Amino acid sequence: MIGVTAMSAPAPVITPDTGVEQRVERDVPWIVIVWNDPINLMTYVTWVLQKLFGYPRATAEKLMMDVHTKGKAVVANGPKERCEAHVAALHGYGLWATMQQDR
Amino acid sequence: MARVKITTSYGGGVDVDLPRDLRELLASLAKQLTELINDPEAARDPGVVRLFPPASVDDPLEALGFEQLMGEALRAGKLEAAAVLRATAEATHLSGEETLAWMRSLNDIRLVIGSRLDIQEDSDVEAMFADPLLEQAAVVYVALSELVEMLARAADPS
Repeated sequence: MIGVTAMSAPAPVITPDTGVEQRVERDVPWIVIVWNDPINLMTYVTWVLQKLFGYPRATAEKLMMDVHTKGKAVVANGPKERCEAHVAALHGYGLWATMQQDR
Repeated sequence: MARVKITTSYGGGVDVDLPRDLRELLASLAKQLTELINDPEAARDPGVVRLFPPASVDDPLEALGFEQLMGEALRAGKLEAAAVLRATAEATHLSGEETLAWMRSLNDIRLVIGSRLDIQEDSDVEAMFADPLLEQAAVVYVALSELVEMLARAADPS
């Protein structure tokens, strides 16, 4: 990519609807985090992680234990739209999930 | 709980053996959950807040965008699950889809009751049985916890 550095430098984008200047950070992936909460049962959380992400039971149990002992775990990552769908699915099952860019 | 049995059904879904009064309770709780979600005055109820948490920890604009994008579908999904629970409260066999609806809706009801009881990691729920103001909710909470646990053990997540 030598020689195209100047052209590929991130340029500010003016969004047409709001006029607010935003720097588009397409390269920074999003992550989905499940947070520990005192109501959801460990068995249930494991089951939901298996169901939604197709994780083998051992993987889902490890993620659940991370949530339980460390307070949170990253359960998925990818483009924003996919992460939004994951968070919505987790909220549908009552898990406490958020998303953010993995800076 | 007397005679509570939930077993894997090899054609798919689960078989549920529950006493009549528990089934009536589940139908009633599903109705109450529906009314709570549909009540515009209840938007700040801690139980409702817990059902629809913000999708971002530190970015209110992201959380608002998510709410606008997904809020209606999430509400509809929780109402649908509650409707299935209510409609199948008397059933002895649940299909895979009905089992999912039971798990989701019973867990939603636990979230609402648990938020109101202010359940914490180290809460002794059974100690609340001695408090006349909390007893009923605490007993229901424990019963629902057992049901969700049994469903998660009996239902196939694949």
